[in-house]
Amino acid sequence: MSILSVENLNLKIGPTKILEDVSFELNEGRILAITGESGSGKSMTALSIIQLQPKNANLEGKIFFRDQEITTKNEFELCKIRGAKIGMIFQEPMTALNPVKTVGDQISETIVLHSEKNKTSADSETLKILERVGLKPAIDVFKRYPHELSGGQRQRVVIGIAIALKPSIIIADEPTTALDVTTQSQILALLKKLVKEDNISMILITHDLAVVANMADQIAVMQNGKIVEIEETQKLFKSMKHKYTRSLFAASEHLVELPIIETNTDPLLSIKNVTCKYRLARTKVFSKSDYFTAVSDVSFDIKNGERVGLVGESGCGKSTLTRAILGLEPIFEGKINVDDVNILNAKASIRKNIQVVFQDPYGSFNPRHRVSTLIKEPFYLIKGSIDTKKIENKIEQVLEDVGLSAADKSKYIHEFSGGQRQRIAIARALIIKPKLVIFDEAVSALDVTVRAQILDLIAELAAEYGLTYLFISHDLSVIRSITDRCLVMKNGKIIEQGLTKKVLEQPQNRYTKKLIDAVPKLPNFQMEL
Amino acid sequence: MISLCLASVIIFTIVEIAPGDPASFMLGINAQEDTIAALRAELGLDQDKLSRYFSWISGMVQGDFGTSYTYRSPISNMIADRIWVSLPLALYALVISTLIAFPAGIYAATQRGKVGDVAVMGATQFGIAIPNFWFAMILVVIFALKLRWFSAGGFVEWENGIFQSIKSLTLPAIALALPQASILSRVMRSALIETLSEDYIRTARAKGFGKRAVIWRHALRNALIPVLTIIGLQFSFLLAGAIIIEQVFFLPGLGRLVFQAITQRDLIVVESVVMLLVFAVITVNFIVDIAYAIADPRLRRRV
Repeated sequence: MSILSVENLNLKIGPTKILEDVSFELNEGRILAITGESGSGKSMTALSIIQLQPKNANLEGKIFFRDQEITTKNEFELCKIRGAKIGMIFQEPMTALNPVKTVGDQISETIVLHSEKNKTSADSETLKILERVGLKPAIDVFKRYPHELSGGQRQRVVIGIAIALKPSIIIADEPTTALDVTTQSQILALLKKLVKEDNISMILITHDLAVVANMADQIAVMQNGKIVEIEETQKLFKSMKHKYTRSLFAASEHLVELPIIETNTDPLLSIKNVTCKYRLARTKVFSKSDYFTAVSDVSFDIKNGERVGLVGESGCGKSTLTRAILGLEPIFEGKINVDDVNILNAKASIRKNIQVVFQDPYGSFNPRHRVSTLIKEPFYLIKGSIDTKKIENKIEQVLEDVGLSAADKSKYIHEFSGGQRQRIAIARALIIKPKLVIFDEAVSALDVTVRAQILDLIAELAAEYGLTYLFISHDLSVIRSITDRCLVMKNGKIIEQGLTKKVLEQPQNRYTKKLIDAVPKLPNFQMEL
Repeated sequence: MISLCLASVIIFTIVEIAPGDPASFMLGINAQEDTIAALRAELGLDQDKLSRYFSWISGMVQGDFGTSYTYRSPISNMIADRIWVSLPLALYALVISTLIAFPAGIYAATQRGKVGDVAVMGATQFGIAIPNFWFAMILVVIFALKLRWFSAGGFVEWENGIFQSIKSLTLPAIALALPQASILSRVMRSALIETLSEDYIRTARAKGFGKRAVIWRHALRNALIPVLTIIGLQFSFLLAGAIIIEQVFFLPGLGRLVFQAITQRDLIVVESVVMLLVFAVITVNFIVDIAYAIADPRLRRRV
């Protein structure tokens, strides 16, 4: 029996159509997944169901929860449904919880709000909920503030809030996107278990097709605000009627062809016994401060022409190591040499050999500069004046190399999409032909299709420019497709390294095995094309 | 502590550099050289600067602010009399400004972009632009001269009834509070608007809280942090602003004391009162720091 039905939902913000004729039904006890690229209207559909769409949005259509029409209800009636009958789980566990309230209070207040219970009995029920979502000891967790918990733990709290009143429906909007693979698989397992135990129907919104395949009974694929295909999971994977569905699946299984480049034996980058430590805040005024070791005794070389991957969960020391290689982080012990010159305190003439592409395509550009100014920045590292005309030529050349047009140089950064920005970031890194490029989670913020394009681009450029690079990622499939050799990092140490293929297919270390097993896999249905 | 020491050195140096010899000023233009020299010796002005600095500091630490050159009475007594006007005035103004700013800022934030918001923002623009001594005079004209609700100036001593004293401080406090209330409500508004766009507000709405409950239960405490900063800064403005307002309303407060002391080259009084004000400001900032930690658990250090 259908518990939620959405009929001809249309949503406009100003003249822009966000949702167009979205209709679907959610049956009791089932999991419906909504998938598609970012901007396809997935999240807006979710927010519309609980009537929390943006104020300036114009919503038409009908939404039935059991027999009740939701769109015609007033604010007071809606507040009784939200939280109690329909629970929400949001993407970003870092910001989804109020930083100034204890997590216990945040669960407990939901119970007090919707039931007759007083604070004390709500608190004791909260303790049970905390245990159910796997946060033990619950008494201790209850009194903590969100900043004292890890990302995965926070997401468990958010789930706790959602299930607190045993709702009929849970809407989970990208619940694991911000998490590591191993945490992701734990959270997904938890969600699946809770939903089954309480007989909750769930709408799962995610762009990750592998997650969808393992969780959902039914899948809806969205593109540009429309549902292009909706089908039982098994059937969808077998048939893939719609062109867009097929391209989405092709993109997520995308394999890149890396050009073969001869490596010579001289190490370009050599890292020897590097240790980085942070000083922790003192607990007492005169006590000695403690240190946290972020990177401990790491050594490896990158030869000219090699493409090396660095894998690990967040907090394993990847970022610290990256900053150390860039000479931005003081090294406690050890040495980092580029072309036999120590990188720390090195002059611009050495630094120009290393360029970097960062993760966030939105935050890593100054919004007040034109693209040409942004891209030519590395030229400041080169001594002596270079002909401005030459620079202009180079800007145009590199823009075309990364798949943009020369005319884009006079635009501002906000005029570009995430994928295009990442191309600009690559252009900025490549313009002075550095010897080594570091990609720091360079494709993690991108959609599957855009990610595939950028990976192709990197492979292309690897041939054209003869790139040597270090690719840092938590995503094993990316590492698999774009590197020759890889390093696995855990708790600041390199625990396994070798040829990428070998490490991923025959992992020696237990942790590496666990990491590989945690990656959700697409089912091996034969496509009937 | 360090900032107090630094402040004392700076204050002492600046006041000493200022032209005008207290002794010759006190004795008038026709005084003879040896009389002036005798008075300088009596006041201790003939000693070198360093030892004068240290005797001033060491006295102050023990609660002895020295003796006024002009009035020949202990400064601590003079300050003790007047601080009971100035401190309540500043606090009173602070309370008024907070009482106006919080509702105004919250209201404007909830009405963002609507008529109510525009009206509040327009009013605060006005409040910031108006000089407070002028506003003080307008208040006197309306409430003291026309309506005769308050007296135009002067202060009723606390012994004659707390209510009467507060009443005599009301107009000055309102005049002092107006610009601060305007600034504070703008800060409150923008802080709240920013907080309301946070993800956890959306979470709270999804829990089933109404718009109003979300503001009270989740947004307000988060918005309070920037507001606290401004309140702390404003306290020093209020103390400084009191100098002018006390003149307008003829209140026997610290501000008037400083003002008179400056015109009479009563250096040691100036130094002591300014030092006291610095101490007050630092204390308030310390209290604000503690308030931060209460408002925001992320700023608490785990022990």
